[in-house]
Amino acid sequence: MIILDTLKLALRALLRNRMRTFLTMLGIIIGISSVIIMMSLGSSLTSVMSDTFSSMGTNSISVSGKWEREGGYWRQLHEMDVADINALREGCSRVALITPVVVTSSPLVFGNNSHSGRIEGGSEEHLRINNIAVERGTMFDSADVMSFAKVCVIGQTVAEHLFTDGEDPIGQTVRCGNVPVTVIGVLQHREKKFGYDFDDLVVMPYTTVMKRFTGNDYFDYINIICNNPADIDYTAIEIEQIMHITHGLTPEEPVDVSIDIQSETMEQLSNILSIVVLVLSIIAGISLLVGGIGIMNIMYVTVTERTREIGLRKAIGARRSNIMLQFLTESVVLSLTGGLLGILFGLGIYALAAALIEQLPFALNVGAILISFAVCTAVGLFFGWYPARRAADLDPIQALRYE
Amino acid sequence: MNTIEIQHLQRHFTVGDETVRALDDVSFSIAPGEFVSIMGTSGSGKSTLLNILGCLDTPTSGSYRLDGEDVQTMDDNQLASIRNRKIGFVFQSYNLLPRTTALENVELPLFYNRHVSPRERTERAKEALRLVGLESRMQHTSAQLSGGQQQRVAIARALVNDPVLILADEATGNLDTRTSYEIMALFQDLHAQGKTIAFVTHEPDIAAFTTRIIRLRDGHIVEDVPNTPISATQTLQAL
Ligand SMILES: Nc1ncnc2c1ncn2[C@@H]1O[C@H](COP(=O)(O)OP(=O)(O)O)[C@@H](O)[C@H]1O
Ligand SMILES: [Mg+2]
Repeated sequence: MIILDTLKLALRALLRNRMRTFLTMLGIIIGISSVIIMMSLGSSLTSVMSDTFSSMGTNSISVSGKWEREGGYWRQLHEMDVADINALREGCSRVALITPVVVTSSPLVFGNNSHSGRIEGGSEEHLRINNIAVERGTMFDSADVMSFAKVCVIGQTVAEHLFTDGEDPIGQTVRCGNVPVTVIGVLQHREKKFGYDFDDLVVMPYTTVMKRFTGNDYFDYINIICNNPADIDYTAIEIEQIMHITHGLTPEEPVDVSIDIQSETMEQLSNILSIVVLVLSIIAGISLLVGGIGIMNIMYVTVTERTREIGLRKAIGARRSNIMLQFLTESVVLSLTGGLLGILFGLGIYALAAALIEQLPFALNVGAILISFAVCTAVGLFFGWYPARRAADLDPIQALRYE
Repeated sequence: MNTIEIQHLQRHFTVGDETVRALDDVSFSIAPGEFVSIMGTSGSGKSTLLNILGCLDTPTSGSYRLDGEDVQTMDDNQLASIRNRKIGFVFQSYNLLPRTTALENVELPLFYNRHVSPRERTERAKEALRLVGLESRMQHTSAQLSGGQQQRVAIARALVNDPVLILADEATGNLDTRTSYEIMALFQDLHAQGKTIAFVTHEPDIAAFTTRIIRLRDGHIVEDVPNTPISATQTLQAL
């Protein structure tokens, strides 16, 4: 019997009991739509995350004083200072750039407008390291850093809050606490990620921030950039050794700084993400299992209902394989149709979520769709196998007598 | 060459510790063109014999040649193929597929014959339905047909593969007298066209339409005699 005839036969049998067919497919529909949602969510979150991290600078290592809990208080074991910078500049062999960062916050006032901003003090390389571009104006240069210049580059959120009358921010003087600071540049807009506003930022020379705002002679952390990502791990070891020596620690003592590799953090986060996806996949797997058992059950019912038909088909010349194929086709068509509905349903829900949640991009995950079809075929074959075999094994004489 | 040759056929069933000898040393031949009725009381072994003749069942011992082929040495697939090409079955309860048209029911055996194209399938099914006088009912489903019409569809289904042997098991058992005679008239027509038919019945008035009567009792042949058939068409007119 030709495949096309078998297919027609299966469709007809399934359409005969529409409601029953639909209810049987429900498990598959739910299972497959979960697969689709999960895989799409997983891949877009991964891409969102790596975007976020590349904008935070990947080939970088940040070194900061370790924190320790002591008598109910957190205390920093070491504060990064100029001596550390000099030691690292001297000791690190595969490093492109070493630059300090100081972070603080301060009220910003312009005319009647005010805004509380996050202030990052860095070197002239600060924007380049962090992959931020200047949209208008300029970034400060090394001379500004050396001379404690009272200049800043501001993000667009800050600009919007302070300059409400359409003034050009460039060249304006903003009161930062009680320090007048001149705006020399506006940063390019960056997308919000996970609700975090990257545009709410003021960048100043770290020298200025230390002298005028924090009043400290130490930094929050030191950024170390390697040109070649392959040098990151080697450099991290070098840094640990240099810090050990510079801070006069004995070999037995643990180092008093944290050395954080950005790419490592990303790896950890993506590990967490893959665990989340795994857990969700298990849920999808369970609904597919339940759906498959539903198919198996309904196929046994079908075979029993159609015992006489099977007997007749055998009597007029159907082979075991013909009967087997007929019922396997029916179960595969059943689960594939369920899968198709599940894909549409899953994509629909995902598209809806993407439309509602700004940061979630919609991407058609072709891999997920192909996997869904493969899984459905496998489910149909696996769970249809025993019912089909029971049908094929029926004795025609008994089957024809069945009431 | 005989259409059927059976020798010392035995069919035993084991039920618990008991052995039922449903057929016990049965031998006979059927020549091409014969219209044989197999008679006997209920439980005498008629259906068991017919199932073996139709290659649905295999004998416990003895030999069976159908159209020159040794059937007892064949495997399941070969038997399915023999049933498909050489046998036409007519059952007491018609066994048509529900919610399926007469035409599709008649096409069914040809689905399992790879050498028949879809177009030829439909042509042959239409021809068979014409032969049983149902050309105007091809698109009717079983539910839309009377018992006699349903049995005619079943007969068309048995004819469509042009079998060497038509086997009927109590084919008139579910029909009233008039309809039974109409069906027998159809069988007599087919016989007149040269078909070989083995017809199981326990009713003497039905057996009277055939050319030979084999009588079974407890799995033995107790009588095997030629019969001068009366005409079913004339009997119908006399009703
Ligand atoms: N599958 C079977 N298992 C056990 N006994 C059977 C089986 N089929 C038939 N028989 C027995 O064989 C005998 C003949 O049965 P059957 O050929 O159906 O008789 P008939 O068709 O003449 O009424 C009966 O005694 C019946 O009970
Ligand atoms: Mg019987």
